[in-house]
Parts: sequence; structure tokens; C-alpha cells
Amino acid sequence: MNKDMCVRMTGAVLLLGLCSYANAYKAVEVSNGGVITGTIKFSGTPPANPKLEITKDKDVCGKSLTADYYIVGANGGLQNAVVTIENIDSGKAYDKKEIVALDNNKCMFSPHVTTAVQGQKVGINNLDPVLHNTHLYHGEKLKTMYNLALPLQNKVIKKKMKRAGVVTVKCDAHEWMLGFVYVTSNPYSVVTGADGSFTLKDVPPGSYKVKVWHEKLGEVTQDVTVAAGGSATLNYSFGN
Amino acid sequence: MNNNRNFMCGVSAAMVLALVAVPFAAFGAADDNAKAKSPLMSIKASPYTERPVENAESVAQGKAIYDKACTYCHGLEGKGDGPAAVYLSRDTAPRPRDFTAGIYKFRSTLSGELPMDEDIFHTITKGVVGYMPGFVGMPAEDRWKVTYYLKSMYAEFKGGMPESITVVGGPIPGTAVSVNKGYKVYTKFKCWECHGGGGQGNGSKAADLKDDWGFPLPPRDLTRLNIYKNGSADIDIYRSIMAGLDGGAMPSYADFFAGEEENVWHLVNYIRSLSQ
Repeated sequence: MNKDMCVRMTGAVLLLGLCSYANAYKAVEVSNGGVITGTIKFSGTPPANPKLEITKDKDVCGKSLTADYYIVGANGGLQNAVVTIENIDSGKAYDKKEIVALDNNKCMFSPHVTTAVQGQKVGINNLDPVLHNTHLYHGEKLKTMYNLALPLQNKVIKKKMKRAGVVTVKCDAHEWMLGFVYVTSNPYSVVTGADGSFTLKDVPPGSYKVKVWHEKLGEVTQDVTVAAGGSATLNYSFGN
Repeated sequence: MNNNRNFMCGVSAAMVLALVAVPFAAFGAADDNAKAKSPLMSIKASPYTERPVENAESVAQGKAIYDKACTYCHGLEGKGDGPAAVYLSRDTAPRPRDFTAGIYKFRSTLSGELPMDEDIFHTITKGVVGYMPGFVGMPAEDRWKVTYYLKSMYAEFKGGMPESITVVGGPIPGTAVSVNKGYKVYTKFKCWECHGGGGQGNGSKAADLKDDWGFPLPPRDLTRLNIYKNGSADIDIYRSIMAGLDGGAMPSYADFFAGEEENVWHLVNYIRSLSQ
């Protein structure tokens, strides 16, 4: 047995090992990274946000609330869409211990949509003087992931996001409450701002499938190529 | 020299193997610990001590038993949709458990975790008051085999057995002082918002509660101790409060009572007092 064979054997064992950790994202130094930037819009008149029927705790929740499903700015910019790179196995480092904030505030979830990297924890807090229970579900079909009582104010409960995918957040005590945590296997994910714009930084050069997701409008995947040190644009319009 | 190199190569490959294998070995270890740990059950431990080996054969035997005893309610494929399912409660929850969904109400584990084997065995043994008959007359070995078959319907059970939540302290005599402390806990932690001020399941949040399948599932009327679905022993009530009832609206209070578990035992006494 020569040295070369030895290296190969060790390598094969190592590879086998890595395969058993499928989807593991690898943090590397990105020195020549590019940027993906753009604006997600809604063209035409967006559907009206329904009035939410407030049936309890009106002194805390308010007498009437309007849903925040479609937030479209003057130029058509769509807020709260998620933009994420689908097929990226290695890239910029991220803080695995970052706590992704999710507040119960005046009987709404704040932020309404947020992102987390698989393995990070969401820190759930209740700012209201009433009972909330933050009920997280795998996917959009309501299959319980965690159901947590939040009887007291200002105590942050931290729970790990174990799988990638959409997490729907609800409150059984206030059935109108709705939020989303979009969990990705890599740190290249962002929620669009009030003007629909977004920026993904430090993207290693390459060709990517980039997904745009919105809670009501569904998802689309676009091909984006990022040159070393370059800036790629991704604009997309939902609606008509 | 050559022999030595081969040896070193073997060592390096073995080291990598060891690194890779450690997490899996750890799973195995956790498994053994979980088996050694006493689950949070109110029935005697004796039926748990001896259990058949879990393998393809015992799963197949479990299926044969399931096909005769369980399909009318739980369905041929375990989706909780057997021909008798609809008659259990018509338009409200609970329906028979859907074993393919991996969501279990009656667990000794934290919210979001799968149940321990003992939890499933326990439910088969005791049944669910008002809904599911207990199969205590079935030989324990067969109940274990059915347990294994139910687990085989959901792939994530293969990831290793989850750990039981830790019980801190134990039941406290239900004195007036303790019941009064429990009342304060019931108030402070807002149990009344769902279960009502008098515990009759008529709190301000009660009317809208639904299960994961969209069926109305009102909170338990706590004044009827004998129909608590998750059992009515002190440890059963403790378990429901700390673990929550996944798939329904009852959330886990484990994070809020961490470090003050004594209050849970007072709360248990207050809840029991509601039925007197």
C-alpha cells in the first residue's frame, strides 16, 4: 500500500462521512464576492388586505387591525418577500449563535416575515400583557413544530430551527395572528424592504438559482450569474 | 517501514471514521440513556422492563395486530381515517391519531419532539378516556410490537429516541396552602384565559381553538378530573403542563416554569381541587 492509496482511502472515508451530513453549508472566505441586488414588485393593483376581526383583548390588541399580507409601495415595491440563493454549498460565514427576533406586539407578529439559517435559534418574546402562545408549524400546512406558552412579558424563549423551509407562525389565543420564518440552509437570504429592494452581499462568483417567495403570491426561481467582484441584478414582478 | 506506514494509514482512516461515527454513536448512547430513564408515566414500570427487540420481524408482527385491532379507527395506512373515525366526534376534534404525521399529544418529551416508545405504549395500554379503549388486555409483548409498527410509519423515529423531560421535585400534599399557591400560579400564568376562571374550559380564548387539522378543540373542562385525556394522576397533569399537547392548542410551559417547578406541583393541586 503506497502513500497515494492511503490518502485516497482516507479521502474516501472522509467523503462518505460528509455525505451523511447532507446539505451542510461550509463557511469559506469570500474575497472576490459579488452582489445580487434588485427590486421585487407587484404590478397592478394588489389585493386588499382584509380587516382582521378582533374578538378579544381589545384593550391590548386594538379595536380593529388590518392584515399585513400585501405591503406595496408607491413604485410597486413589494415588502416582505424573501429572496434566497437555492444552490449554494459554501460561501460567507455567518453567526450561528445569532438569535432571530420574533416579537408578539399588540397581537401581531413583528417582524411579520423574517429569515433564519438552519440551526439558528428564534428568540420569541411577548410584549403584551395578555397570554400569547407562539405556535410554529413546519411548512404552510400547519404541522406543529413547537407550541410555546408565553404567559408573561419580556422573557425570551429560544428555539432552534432544525429544518430548512417555511415555518408558519400562529397564536391559538389570537387566531388572526400570522407570521413566517423562512429557514434556509445557507446565509444568503433576505427579506425585501418597504420599497421592495434587497441586496445579497459577498456572493462567490458563479451561476445560481435564486428563489423569490411571498406568503400569498407564491414563489419563482430565477437564474442569476454573479461575476467576481461584480453586481448582478434580479428584478421580478408578481401580479399582472 | 512499509508496515508502519500501512499502520499509520489505517490509523488516519480509522480516526476519520471515528469522527464521523461519533455523532451516531452518541445517538446510540442517548438511546440507551432514554431507555434507562423512567418516563413520566403514572402506570407501574413493570410492563416496560421487558420488551421485544425492535426489528423488521417485530414490526411486521405489530402490523398484523394493528390490521385486526386498530384499522377501524386509525385506517389501513395509519392516517387516522378508518371507517369509524368520523363517528368518534363528527365535526370536532379529536380524530384518531394520524401516525404518518409524526405529531403526538401524549408525550414525556418537549413540544416539537417525538414521543418516547413508552409514551406510545402507555397510550395503547390506557387508551384515551372517552375516545380510545385501553388495550391492557393485550399481551404487553404485542403492545410493544404495535408500538414499533406505529413508529415505522414516520421516518424520523429512526433518528434515535428523544429524551424525557426532567421532572423536578414531585407531588406535594394538596393542603389549603398549596392549593392557594396553585391558584396564584393559575392566575399569574394566565391558564384562565383558555380554561376559564373556574376551570370550566370557558375562558375568553376557548371558543376559537382548533387542532392542526382544523377541527375545533376546546380546552379541557378542568372540573372533570376523570376525563383528562392525558391522565389525571399528579404526574400526568405535570406532564401536560410542561410538555404541552402537540397537535392541539395547549402549549408547553416548560420554559416559563424552568427553575420554579415547585409552582407546577402547587398548580397541579389547584387543578385537582377544581374537581372537588
